[in-house]
Amino acid sequence: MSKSVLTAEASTFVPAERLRASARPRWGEFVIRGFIGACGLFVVVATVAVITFIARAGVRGIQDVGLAQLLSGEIWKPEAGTFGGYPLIFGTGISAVGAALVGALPALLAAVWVSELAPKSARPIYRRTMEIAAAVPSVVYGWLALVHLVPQAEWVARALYGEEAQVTGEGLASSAVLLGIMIAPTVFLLSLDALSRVPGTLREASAALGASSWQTAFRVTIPGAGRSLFTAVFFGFARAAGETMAVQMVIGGARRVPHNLFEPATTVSTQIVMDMQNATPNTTASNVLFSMSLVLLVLSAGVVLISRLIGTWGRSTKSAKGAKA
Amino acid sequence: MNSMTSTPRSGVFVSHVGHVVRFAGAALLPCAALLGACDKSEPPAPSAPAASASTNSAATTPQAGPVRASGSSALQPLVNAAKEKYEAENKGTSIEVSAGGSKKGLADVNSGAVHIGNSDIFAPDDLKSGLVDHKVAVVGFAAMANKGPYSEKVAALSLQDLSRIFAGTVKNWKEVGGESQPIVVINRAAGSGTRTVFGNIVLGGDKFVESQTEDNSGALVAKLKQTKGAISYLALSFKDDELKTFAVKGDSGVTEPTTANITSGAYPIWSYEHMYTKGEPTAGAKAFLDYIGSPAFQENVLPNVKGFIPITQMKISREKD
Amino acid sequence: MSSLAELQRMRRRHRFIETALERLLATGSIGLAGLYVFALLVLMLRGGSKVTNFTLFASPLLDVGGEDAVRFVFAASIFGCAAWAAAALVQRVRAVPRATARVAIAFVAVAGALLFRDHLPRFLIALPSDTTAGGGVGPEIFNTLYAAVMSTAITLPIGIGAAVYLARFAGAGKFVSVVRMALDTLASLPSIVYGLFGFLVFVVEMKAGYSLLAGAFVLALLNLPLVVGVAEESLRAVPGELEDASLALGATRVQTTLRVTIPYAWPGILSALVLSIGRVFAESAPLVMTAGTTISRSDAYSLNPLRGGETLAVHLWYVNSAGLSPDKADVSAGTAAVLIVLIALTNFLASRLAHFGGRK
Repeated sequence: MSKSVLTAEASTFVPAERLRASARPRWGEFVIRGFIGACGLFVVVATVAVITFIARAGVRGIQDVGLAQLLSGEIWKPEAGTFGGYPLIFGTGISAVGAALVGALPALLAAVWVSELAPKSARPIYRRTMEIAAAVPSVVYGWLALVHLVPQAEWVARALYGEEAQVTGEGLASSAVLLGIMIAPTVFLLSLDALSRVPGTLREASAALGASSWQTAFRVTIPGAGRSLFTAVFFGFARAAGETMAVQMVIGGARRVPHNLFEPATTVSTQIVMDMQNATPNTTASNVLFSMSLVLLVLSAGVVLISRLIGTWGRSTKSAKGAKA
Repeated sequence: MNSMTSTPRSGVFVSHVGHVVRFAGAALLPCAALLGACDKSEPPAPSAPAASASTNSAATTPQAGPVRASGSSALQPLVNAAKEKYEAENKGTSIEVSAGGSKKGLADVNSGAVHIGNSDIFAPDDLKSGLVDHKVAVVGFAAMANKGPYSEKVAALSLQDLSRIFAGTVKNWKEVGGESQPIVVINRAAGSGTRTVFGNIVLGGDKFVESQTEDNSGALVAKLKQTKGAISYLALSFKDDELKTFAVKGDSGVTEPTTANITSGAYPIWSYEHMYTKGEPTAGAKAFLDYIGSPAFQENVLPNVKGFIPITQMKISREKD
Repeated sequence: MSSLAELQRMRRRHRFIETALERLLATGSIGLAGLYVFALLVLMLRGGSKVTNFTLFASPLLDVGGEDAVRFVFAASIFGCAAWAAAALVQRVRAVPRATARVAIAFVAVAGALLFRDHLPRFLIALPSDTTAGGGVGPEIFNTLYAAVMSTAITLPIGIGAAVYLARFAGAGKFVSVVRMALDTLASLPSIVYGLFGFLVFVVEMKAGYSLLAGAFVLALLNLPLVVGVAEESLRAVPGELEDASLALGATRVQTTLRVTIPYAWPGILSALVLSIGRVFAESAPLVMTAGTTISRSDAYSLNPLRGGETLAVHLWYVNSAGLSPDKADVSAGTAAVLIVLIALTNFLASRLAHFGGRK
């Protein structure tokens, strides 16, 4: 029987069942298979554990204070017992949207340029630079922003609002620019990957039809990679929403909704870190912080999930079209 | 993937350049280190043991591990001064002090993360049971502001003025006697004992206007120096020549924040500095606290640390903030 | 015929607009990359002096346990890296047998360590200071490396196991999709959520206080999606013929996986682990809540994983928000420079490993 396996079927995959019959059962096999399965199980258990622990404390906080108050209350004063989370959510939202505009969009355009329009020799250099930039810790960017960006923000604010403006440079504008600088390398690398996955045949066909590289880039390649590019930007947005330490350094920590982009503000993650140090565990103050982290979790995971859904939905319809064509 | 569209020659050249650049960069750093800036300064002088008037027998008490303290940044300079003297006199002991704010100190000592919690405020009611208070000093607080032409003429502020400035009703320096410049209130973070003390005495509670917060006194000093129109509140241990410190204007005239005025009670903004332990302190913590309370420290060392006053000099006392 | 002229005119106009836009895009992109290069250069220049400031006098030992060994290891690594770079440069010019190169590198590392271990830059071996100038980051460097090693030790078996499961042993059943969903969820959580989880489990429930082990565990969770993703990709890239051949020779699936698939995919897996080490260096939010922000003088260099300790990234944040030292700008610059150097070394190692694997 083994001879026929070797000669006739050597090039095709032999189902394990035919071999298992001839193999001696070894206990080591089961142990290792068990370990491998256990690793898969561990991943699931760990995820469930993380979400359960956070949710347990968070739900207690929501029960104490009420979801409406947590999401829309305007005053966050734990020492007075008021837990209005709107200023926090506002800060997170504006910072993340600002980061997407200041960082993700330019990164996307840069990826288009490097992938489509730039000389081919520039690509590895650019890629290496952005890989190093992406590996730099966020606190380093935060510190650089504190030292160099915040004074500039103060100057801009004084230019915009007059010499008498009540600004110190820390605020949503600084935080948005910092987050943009932080997510740009990652968004760039993801977009570059997405654009390079567009099959070369599409580009060649477009060129054969007489289109310039610009036209090819914007009418063929980008729509071709469209969903993945969207995913990349969303991923950057989620990362910007969740960033903690760097934002805490430049945002000022004022627990109210600012009147303009240059006044001090706060975000959900910043407030969690600042208040967690003083909060006694298992009190309302502590539980509410976990509730706010649940809000952050839902926001972040929701954004990533939506982007993945958009990605796969696009792909399935495209492949259907491709099959027809 | 990419190689399909790139010419091999340029690709190899670029990777070659990349390799050389990387290696060169990795080699240059240590070479520059060896050949370049060598530190020619004198080695740090070994810390001489302080001449102590009384011998503290705490050296013989065994302590498993270091004594940990955390909390108030206002108290931190004093605790650090005590730590240096204590460690020099008692070889083998180790005190670790970190900041975080009075409320963090109280939370940490309550949860057992540290042995001693430094606090500018009395422990709140929900934490008070179980915590033992050790008062170690008195410190005064004052409103300090960015030095500028707008506030030069303002020598002192009344408690009402201060309260209105920090509550946000007074928004411009010209309303309190200076030139026109918007007031930028900078607060301490919510966990700060300085904020609580100043709020209770000046505003009658935590009624500060919501504005930019700084995490600790040191960062606050830096911020005040660089922001025009900024004002905040700090312990007198952070008094700085580059900042304007305000005296308090009362019915009987202007009261400067001096030691004499604080001990007599004329200057109202002060508080005790507490070092809390959970129950009775452990051996090492007790030894350290005894040292801080000893006359040797309180009379010889404490008065030399800027801004702190021995409790024994106080002619008035308080039961709560 | 006039329409052809019109077409040509339109083409020329379009080309003009396109070239202009392309120039604009090029400027913007180069500016973007230049911004990062400039920022890193500024950082290295400012903090580099702290890192390269070898001293002429010998720094006295600070009476901290294990300090001697740590100084030796730091000095050996610095000189070893320099020797390795020098050897690589020499290799370009003339071929040197590999054994000789290795012996030379080892010799330079040990000799340099023995001669210069007390002359290391003060910044790299001094203890941090909260209130006085002159603090260093010696314990922070040690904690960073220790946390990275511990976290990788946890991620390695679990990550490879899960990746092997997903790539080779999973059926098409529900459990696989649950595992994938779990990995996706883990990947989308903000890092502070991991910190809060670690805080709840280790500090509050288990009352174990701040510990490096808690930090390493939490970071291992954080890195799992990345490691499993990259490892799975490398495992899938193994050509099926190799495995068929192994199975055809009578090996069991486990034997095939262990002796054929994993060794073939090993460089990719290794580069995934090295990427995860880079991430451990860069994270600060989970560590603030699990490993704390303090350095204890007595166990600054201790190998006990149950003690707390701050890492470089945490120190950079702490010095800027809660530190009272007057030279915090210098300390921050130095800390950032050390972090960048560590990360650059890690990336370099990853690319070398991938290179090595490619040659195989």
